[in-house]
Amino acid sequence: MPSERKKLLVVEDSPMMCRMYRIVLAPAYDLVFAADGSEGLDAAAREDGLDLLVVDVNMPRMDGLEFIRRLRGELGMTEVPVLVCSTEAAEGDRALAESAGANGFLPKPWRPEQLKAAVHEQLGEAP
Amino acid sequence: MSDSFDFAELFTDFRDEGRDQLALLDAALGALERRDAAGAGAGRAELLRGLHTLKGNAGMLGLRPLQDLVHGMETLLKHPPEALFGIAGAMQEAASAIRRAVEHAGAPGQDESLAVLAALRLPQPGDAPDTRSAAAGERAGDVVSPADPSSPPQEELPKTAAAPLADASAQPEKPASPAAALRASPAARKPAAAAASFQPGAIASPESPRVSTSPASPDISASPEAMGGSPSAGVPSASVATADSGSASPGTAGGTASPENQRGSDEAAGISLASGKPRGLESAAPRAASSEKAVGARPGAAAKSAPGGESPEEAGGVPGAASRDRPAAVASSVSGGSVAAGRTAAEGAHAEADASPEGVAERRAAEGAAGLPQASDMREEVLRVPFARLDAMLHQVGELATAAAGLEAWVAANRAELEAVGLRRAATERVEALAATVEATGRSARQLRTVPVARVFGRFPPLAGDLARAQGKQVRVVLEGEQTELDKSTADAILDPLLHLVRNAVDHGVETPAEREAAGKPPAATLWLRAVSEGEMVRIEVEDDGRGLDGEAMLRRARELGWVGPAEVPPPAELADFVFRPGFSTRADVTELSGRGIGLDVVRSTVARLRGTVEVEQGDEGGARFVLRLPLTVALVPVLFMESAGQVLAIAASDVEEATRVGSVATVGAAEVVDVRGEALAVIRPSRLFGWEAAAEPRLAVVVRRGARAAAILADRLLEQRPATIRPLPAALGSPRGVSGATLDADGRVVLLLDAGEMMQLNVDLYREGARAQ
Repeated sequence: MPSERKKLLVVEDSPMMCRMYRIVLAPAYDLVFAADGSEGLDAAAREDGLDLLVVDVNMPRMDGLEFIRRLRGELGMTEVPVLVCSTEAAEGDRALAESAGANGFLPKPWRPEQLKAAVHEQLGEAP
Repeated sequence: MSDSFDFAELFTDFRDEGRDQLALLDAALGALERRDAAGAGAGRAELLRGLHTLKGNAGMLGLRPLQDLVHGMETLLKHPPEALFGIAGAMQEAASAIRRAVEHAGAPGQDESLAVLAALRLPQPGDAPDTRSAAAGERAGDVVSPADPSSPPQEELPKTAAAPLADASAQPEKPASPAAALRASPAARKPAAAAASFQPGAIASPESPRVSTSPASPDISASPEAMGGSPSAGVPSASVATADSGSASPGTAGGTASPENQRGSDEAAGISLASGKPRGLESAAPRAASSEKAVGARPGAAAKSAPGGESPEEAGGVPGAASRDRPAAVASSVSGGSVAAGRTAAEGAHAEADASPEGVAERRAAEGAAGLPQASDMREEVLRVPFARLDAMLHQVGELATAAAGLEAWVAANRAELEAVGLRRAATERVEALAATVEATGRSARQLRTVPVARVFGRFPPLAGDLARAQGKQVRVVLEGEQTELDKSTADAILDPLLHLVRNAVDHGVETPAEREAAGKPPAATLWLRAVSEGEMVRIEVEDDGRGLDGEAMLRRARELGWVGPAEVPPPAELADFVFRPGFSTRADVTELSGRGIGLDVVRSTVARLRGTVEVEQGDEGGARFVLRLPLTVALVPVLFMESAGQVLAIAASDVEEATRVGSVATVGAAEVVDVRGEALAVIRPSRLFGWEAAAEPRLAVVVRRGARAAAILADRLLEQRPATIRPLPAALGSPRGVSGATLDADGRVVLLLDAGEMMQLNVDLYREGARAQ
């Protein structure tokens, strides 16, 4: 699919992590970045046709879980899939993310193929 | 896409972020040392978040030991500040280990001393009393399960936990227990995995992250160098040192301490940087063996450099992205002179850089705006902007200045015509107003790139303390002029040179307390780090009150090396300058900690690459004083363009004293001199320097002067002087002597920037050869 690239919003405050997302995902997807939950909400409201959100938990101003709650609630974006990537890898964190409205959970550190697989899964693509 | 990816950039990001995070940590630990609970508590949420990010990032890069170390620190800091007062010293040491690991992440192994220092040497029974008493018998009740960040640790911390923390009474010494030592290291949290992660072969284990994205790009994690191999191995070796020391002090045992598990005995007392999953010491014992095995495996891994490894001095390199994108263009200009790289190429590079995700990097470091629960005090809002974007603007401001100057010249040239139609006065006034605004804009723009030197200086007090302690010395660091502003990339890049100078001072300059007392000095040495603005330059001094320069030994050594004739006695400044040459060391007993890794010659070349200078002199306090002079800004400096041997060359205008018609050239030895206002100046011929064919005899002498030295660069004609953006030479070009960077001329061609200081040095060398040949 040369022309119809999917568009992902990455909500992540660490420049290094953003660079990694770009390395892994930019070859196949269009990426939009936001530096915290609050900017993420702005971006989610602004950008048309987002296919997937990749969200960090630990961020200044508004963390990832709050971001997802507001995305689902205030913005009413209930359909777009959200993949949470977090250093908090315990089951409790997965549950927290899911109860906030996340569709998937990927613990950090991830390997590129794990990220790609998780993104494929959320997008319903063949790996 | 991933083909264009530069691993070095990833580490640069990592270090940049790490430095910010460490600055927060330093502030908090400073407050802890002062027993300032309010100070330590302020900004705690931000600090914890920063450490959390650092931990996550370290994990992504496969820096497992660092990750564990940060995790331990994070866990400790979740305790109320009062509970940590007693172990502030030990936490400083752990912070030093983190700092070292961060600074050397991704760097080629150029500094083994960091590993030797083993900063995570948790307190040992034999330690100096000041650190001992603070740390020996104290327990960091490590209560909170890290898996549950939502639970406020304070509430779970049993009331009794704080009491033992304040108990400074030394615990009885225990026989060597490697297990205890291992436990003291955060690696003990997942002993098997951690031990494995020290071994190069185990790196690609499922637990360790892989950074590689495509077969075309090198796989960071698959290479041992990238992981344990970089000098960040200082971290694993830190725990190693503890194990090697053979005596596990109670202070190193991990405190686990959930309420029911709180051990009041000597067994579990101590500072635990490990996360507190309750676990008995005995259960850790069998793992000691694997730890030792891992130790053996480490040195080999440390030897090579990381694939994406970037030397720290290049790390902060700003315009790297842009200039690295066209090494070919610059390379050809080195061999053949200027090449029409074209403005579009430069702008393309900018655009490329802009396309990077740094859109994201614009973020507010400040918290509190969103009214989150953890939002604390008011902070200045901070916007992070990528250098590439800033440089594009600075470049445009430069263009604007050029255009304004052009307009001013046009008005001056058409004065009569404007007068004739009655517009001269109006035009002149408007042009002057424009020029003033443009100048102010340029000033503001340049300020965007500057940061207070405090962000560099602030690292040294704990670091120097560590270094001194390791040698049984005492050093007090005095910082002066911390608010002096410096270009951020310069500030980042001088960290390593300063680190070397500080280490040099502690190793060689500072005497032991006994020696000092014998010499009538206070037992603790003083090390001054000073910064002061001097016009367009910033002067930075590293001075100690140690034993100072030994002129006689230096002269002996210089004669040994044949740099000075048997009867020759060079002036003190010239003699002192020898210390910056490769191969010059007057110390026979090169200490364990210094004399390896980068030398003073590297300090000088690093500083030269920043278009700065470094000199050493006898200090006023009896010790040595190293003086660095660095340009305030690396972007947009006034540059003089000239033509020499048919090639366009550039030189910083601040280096140029005057340009004058050249008289007759005389020869002294192998060097040429020319008379300028009664002064015989060494002649520099760029044609000879770069191997170009010289056409006619040059008619102009461009006089450059640095301190006591001066020289005349021969040129055919001067072209223009205007502000220009300086870029470092692409790493691929190495550092040709006499060139410190590149810039663009008015037509957008890449032009070499001459390094006046280095060119003068070249001439001194040449002169000396000639004098000796005679």
